[in-house]
Amino acid sequence: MRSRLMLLVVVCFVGMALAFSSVVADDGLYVRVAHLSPMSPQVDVFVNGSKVFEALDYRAVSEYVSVPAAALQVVVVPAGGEIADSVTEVPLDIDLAAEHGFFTLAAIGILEDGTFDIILLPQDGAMMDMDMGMGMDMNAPMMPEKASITVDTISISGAYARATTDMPMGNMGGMAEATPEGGMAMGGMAEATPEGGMAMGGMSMNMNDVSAAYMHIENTADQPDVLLSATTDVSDDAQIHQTTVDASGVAKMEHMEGGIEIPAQGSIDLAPGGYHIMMMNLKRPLAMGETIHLTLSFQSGVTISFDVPVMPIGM
Amino acid sequence: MLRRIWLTVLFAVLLTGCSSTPAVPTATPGIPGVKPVSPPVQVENFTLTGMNGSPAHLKDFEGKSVLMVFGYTHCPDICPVTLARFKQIKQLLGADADKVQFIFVSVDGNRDTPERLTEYLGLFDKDFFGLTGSEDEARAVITLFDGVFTIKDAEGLRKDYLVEHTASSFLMDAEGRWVRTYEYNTDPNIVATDMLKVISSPSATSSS
Ligand SMILES: [Cu+2]
Repeated sequence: MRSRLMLLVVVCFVGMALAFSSVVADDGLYVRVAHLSPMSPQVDVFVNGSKVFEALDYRAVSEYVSVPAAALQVVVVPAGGEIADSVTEVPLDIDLAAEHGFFTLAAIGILEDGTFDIILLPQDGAMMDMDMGMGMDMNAPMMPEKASITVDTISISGAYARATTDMPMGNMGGMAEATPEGGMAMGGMAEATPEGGMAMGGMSMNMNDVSAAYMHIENTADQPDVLLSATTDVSDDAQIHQTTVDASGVAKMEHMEGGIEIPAQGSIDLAPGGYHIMMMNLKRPLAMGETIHLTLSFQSGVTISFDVPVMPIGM
Repeated sequence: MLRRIWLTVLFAVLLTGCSSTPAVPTATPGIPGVKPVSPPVQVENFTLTGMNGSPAHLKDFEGKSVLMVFGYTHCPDICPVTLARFKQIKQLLGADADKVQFIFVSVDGNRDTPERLTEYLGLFDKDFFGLTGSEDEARAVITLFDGVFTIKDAEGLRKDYLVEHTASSFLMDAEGRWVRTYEYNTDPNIVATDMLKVISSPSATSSS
């Protein structure tokens, strides 16, 4: 009974850790350890032969550390111990089954009971991983890297546009010219995609004629700046928008005609559910793996033209 | 596989156990983003058009909990986020996802044909179900949940018009009672944890 209670406490704590773990995109592979095994001493944790986490108390959650590969051999020892002092008979093999992302290992159960184990929690901020179907489909296109660029006093990072189709880019050849306007260009699409394309003839297959671009913009000047306007090669109708959700839960989009102010030495985020570059009447569908060209104009006179990758719609 | 089972156990215990542990926050009333409907509201059966083009009724889903959201496929900013979260919630529910039907109700029947809904929702999850209908039909349904939508096309001319709409999601239990409103932006982990509670003990919802 007592150990069941312990488990409850542990599990509630894991639940909290899960609920509040943040969603972060990164190319690296990171792991942290949560010590959730009651009545166990302060521990050190060896990963692949090196001591990585030191003096973790019960209920402590470590910082993330970078690991080079997904296959981990984990050894837990009483603080100050060596690998030979492992609390388990054999090292625990954990496979993160991903090439990048943030993961949490939880030490659970009770040593004396023999219920001690280390489990891998669902990937922190797992949305990214699931949407890309990573680790399941080896043929899936690699996640493109988000764009960064600095011009004078403006630094842009994490820039991407949202895809409007889940067709890989290779299937989209010839579509650019085939779309004189918005939605009705799909006849051209059917021709352009011999493999499976015919099935879609005449339909608006996987197509959304509106998309949005997102990014982080930093102003390193000592004066405030304003993002005034945006233009792009994929739409003649790009606007700076803000989505707001009011107290009654209604989502609205507002055209920011005066632009968005960026404080002196400050930054703004264009992110889903907030500010975004809205691209209407798209000239062609946007597929993951391609880039669009974006030009941003600022009040300070800075103009930035750069290529922005298209990321999966589910992001 | 063993680890999968462990996770399921983790979540199962989360539901049953945590509410009796006072020091730990749980997904009960008081959690930001989770609004219990108290007492639950029996939602009247409505009929819209399903993804195959045939009439679909709320009653068709009886026996499952329903997580429903209103939106439109040309929605560029909010709806993809909501549907990506639905997908994440579905994964977090694990085996219990079978007991839930995720439904996207279009407030833009003009452009959202059953075919288009099928394609769009397929970008997220083939199990998500789409319903569409005329403006009046959609309005009658969203009103059942105190929601609203406004088509921003004063002149009726724009092809790429926007629609303002309630972005919260609504949870109905297996008996078709509206028991929760989840605000747009509520962490999927919180929603999934709270939903598991509703799924596993329908009777508990009436007491909350
Ligand atoms: Cu917008």
